[in-house]
Formats: sequence, C-alpha cells, structure tokens
Amino acid sequence: MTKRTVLCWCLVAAFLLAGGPAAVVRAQGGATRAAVPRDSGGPDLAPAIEVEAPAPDPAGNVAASSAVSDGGGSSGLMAVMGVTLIIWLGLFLYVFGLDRKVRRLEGP
Amino acid sequence: MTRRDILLGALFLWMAAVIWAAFLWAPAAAGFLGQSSRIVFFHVPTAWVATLSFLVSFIASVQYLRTRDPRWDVRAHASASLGIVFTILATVTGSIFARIMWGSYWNWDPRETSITFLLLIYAAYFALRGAVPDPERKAALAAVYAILAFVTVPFLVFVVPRIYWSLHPDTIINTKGRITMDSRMFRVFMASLAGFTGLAAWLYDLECRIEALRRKAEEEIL
Amino acid sequence: MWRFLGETMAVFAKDMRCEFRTRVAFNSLALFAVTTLAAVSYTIGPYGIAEADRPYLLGALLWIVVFFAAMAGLDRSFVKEEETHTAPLLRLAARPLVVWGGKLLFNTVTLALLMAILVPLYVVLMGLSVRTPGWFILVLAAGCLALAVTTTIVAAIVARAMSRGALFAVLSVPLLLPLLVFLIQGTRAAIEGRVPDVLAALRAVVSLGGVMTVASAFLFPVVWHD
Repeated sequence: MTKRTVLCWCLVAAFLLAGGPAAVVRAQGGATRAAVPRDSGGPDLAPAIEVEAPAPDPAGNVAASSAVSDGGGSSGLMAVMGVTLIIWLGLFLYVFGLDRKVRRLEGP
Repeated sequence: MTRRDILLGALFLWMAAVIWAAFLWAPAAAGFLGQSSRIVFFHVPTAWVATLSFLVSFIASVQYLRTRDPRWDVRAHASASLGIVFTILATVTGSIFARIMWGSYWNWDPRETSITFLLLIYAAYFALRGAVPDPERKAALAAVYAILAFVTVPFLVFVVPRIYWSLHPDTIINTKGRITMDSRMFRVFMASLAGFTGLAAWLYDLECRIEALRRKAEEEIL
Repeated sequence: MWRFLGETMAVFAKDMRCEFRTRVAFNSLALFAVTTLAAVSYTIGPYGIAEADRPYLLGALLWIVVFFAAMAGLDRSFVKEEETHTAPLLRLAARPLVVWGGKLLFNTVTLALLMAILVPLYVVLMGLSVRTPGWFILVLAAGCLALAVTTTIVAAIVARAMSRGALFAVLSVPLLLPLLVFLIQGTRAAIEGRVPDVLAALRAVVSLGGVMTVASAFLFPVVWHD
C-alpha cells in the first residue's frame, strides 16, 4: 500500500459518504413525499396499492387479511414444495456430476 | 467418500430442509397476499449472493491489478458470472412477487430499475472481456471496468431506490435499523441465507477450477 | 503541481489543434445533437406535453439529447490516438496522469461547447421556462463535468479493445445511467424552482462524479500502459 493508494481510498470513501447521507435524508422524507402522486413511480397504481402493500408490519397487525386469503390450503403448498425439492435435487445432481468430472480432469 | 463429499451431502440435506421449512414450517407473513411472502426465503438470499459475488469480483479485480497473478483474474471472472446468474434469479423471483402483489411482472419500480442497471453493468463487463483478444490486456481492462462499475453499485443499491418512493417491502437492513420478522420466519430465513451462501461458494470454487482447466487446455493447444 | 498543470495544458492544446484540423469529434457531436433536437422538437414541439408533465419530461429529454451526442463523439479523444498510431509516442512523451488530465480537459471543453450551443436552442425550441436559472446552469455544469470524467476513462478502455464504437456505448451506458437519473431529478427541480431538491441531486452528482474522478485517475495508468 503506497501513500497514494491510501489517499485514493480515503477520497473515494469521502465522496461516498458525501452522497450517502443525502440518500438517507431523502429516504426518511420519502414517506411524506409518497402522498404527492406525481412523485411516485406509477401514477395511477400507487394510491390503490398503498393500502394493500405496506412494509411488513410488526407481526399480527394485519393478520386478518392474510387469514382471509389463506384459502389455498396446504395441499397447494405441498405441490409447490415438491416441485422446488425436485428442482433442487436435479440441480444438485447436475452440479455434483460437474464436481466429479472436474476432480477427475484435475487428476491426482 | 472424501470430506468434500460429506460437506456437499450436508449442503444438500440443509437446503432440502430449508425448502421444507420455508413452505410448511414457517408461517406466511402478515400483510402479504396469500402465501406470497414465502418467496422472501429465496428472493433475498439470491440477491444477497449476487451482491456478495460482485464484492468478491471487485476484491479479486483489485488484487489482480496489484499482483498481476492470472489466478485473481480467474476468480474475478468466475464470481462476476456467478453474480450475474444470481442477479437474474433475484430479478425473476422478484418479478413473480411483483405479479402477485402489485399486479404486473414489471412496472419499473425503483428496485427493478436499479437491478436492471446492475445487470447492464455486468453484461457490459462480459462484452468488454469478449472484445479484447490479448489475455493479459483483457484481464487488466476487465479489472479496471469491474472496479469502476463497483463504485457505482452503492448508488444503484442504496441511493436510487430511496430517492423514489418504492413499493418494495423494507429491506432487511431498513432505514429504521430494526428487524421486522416473525421469529420462525427469521430462523428459516437465516438458514436459507447460509444455505445459499454455501451453494454459491461451491459453485464459485467449481467455476474457478473449470476456468483454470480451460486455460491450461488452451495453453497446451498453443 | 504547476508543472503538472502545464503539461496537462500542453496535451490539451495538442488535442485541440488536432481536432481543429479535422473537426471529427466536434462535427459528429454537434450534428448528432442538432439532429436529435430537431427530431424531438418536430415530434413534440413546445406544446406537445401537458403543463404538469413539462418539467420532468423536458429535463429528461434534454439529458437524453446530451447523452446521445456524447456517445457519438467523446470516444474520439483516445480512439484517434490508437487509429493514427500516435499513442506510443504520447506514452513516451507524457506521464499517464498528464495524458488523462489533458484528455479529460478536452472532453470537458468539447461537451461544454456543445451544451453552450444546445441548451439555449433547446430552451427556445421547446419553450422551456426555468424558475431558477442559476441552479439550472449549475446542474448542467456539474453534469457536464461528471459526464466528461466517465466518458474519458471509458474511452481509454475502449481504445484498447476491438469494435470500439459499439463497445463505447455498451460500457458507458451502465456507468452513466445512475448519473443521468440524478441529473434529470436535479434539472426538473431547477425548472420547478425547488432548491432543496436541486441541492440533494447536486450532492449525489458531485459524490458520484467525485468517486469516478478519483477512481479513474487512479486506474488510468493501468489502462494506458497495458
């Protein structure tokens, strides 16, 4: 590490820090800004969805809404889990085959 | 049966257990439509692995420029390609979530925008690698570009999504610095994070060795 | 320090003199900008956009015009050296950092000249009224500098590769996109006269531009000598 390298890293860090807090300030102001429609990305979509998709609240707050739409039941979940497991098995076997091949090619 | 095989078997069982727990053991989070919150166990770890591999790629690039050891170039290349695969996975899983929660696969939400930029950056990295025939020059130029690209990543990941108002649920490290997750969910989530990191490490190791073999073969041909 | 500046100015003056012999970079930049501006102005015109959307869309369009013009000509500074095989001589004659400084200055001046012509034309043709002209110019100046820094290092990389023209755009776009996002925000805020938002955007631009400057000054010798 030369003196110049250290200086460069320090400068990079300084510039990053100069930009970083600005972002955080904006982020905290973000909640109030959201109320102004033209500031949000999707003009028509935003207000309607705001109600449906809050950030994950401390658990239990909106428990009712999830209970209602829970209708799919566990059989659907089982099916999805099965598919995921099969994909994982296939992926694992494929990569494991590669692993073996590489070890063989590398020789002793 | 080597130690490596045992470790890999453990990884297989671990991830299988994570998949089981993600669907059947952890509860669905409140505030999300139906079971859609379960995607967090797969979406966030892929994004995490993507970030991690870009960090590794950055460090390897810096190391390459310092030492000029071609092995660092192999590592930078391997982790960047790993990163791009996992970024695509994170984008796809995020897009599925967006379809369920927000009604469309793609709506240029700030998070979606910034991940697109990220994909573009690393696609450009591979375009550059393809355009330089001389291996040493290729390695040096790619390393420079990877470093330049990486210094813009903080802006993409932290600044752009926060200047605009986003529909994206709070990230784990949110502005309030608090973790808002059910304890069972949190345990599965951490387990998944560990599993994905393990998987990524394995893939990274393989990629490096394959690339090294490829280069050796090329040298033998020449 | 003074020697460094003097040498930088020498490289810059050399580039300017070469440029005025052929005017390839100036012409391609200016023609590209004017053509795009004519197309934009013809299809949209001063009254094609609803009043509420004007600040945002006009700001975005302005930066898109500047961006495309920059893509058309700013890679010349380095590509020219490789194409005419003068690069090895320059490598012998000047230190890397001096070359970088001279080229950066050249790109900045080219871009500034372009914007000095383009922006007034744009303001007149699109019927743009800016609430805080001072801040508007400041955002433009910051953007000009940041664009020049990024395109200089990318041009240096591209000059060492094959298929340079296409690669220049491919490599620049991802690095410039976040910058353009901030610049468009800042321009819009300046048009609407919201000073705090201009300041926030400027801060992001300065931060990103500064990081790019330091990183490229540090990395340029590697690109130049390999």
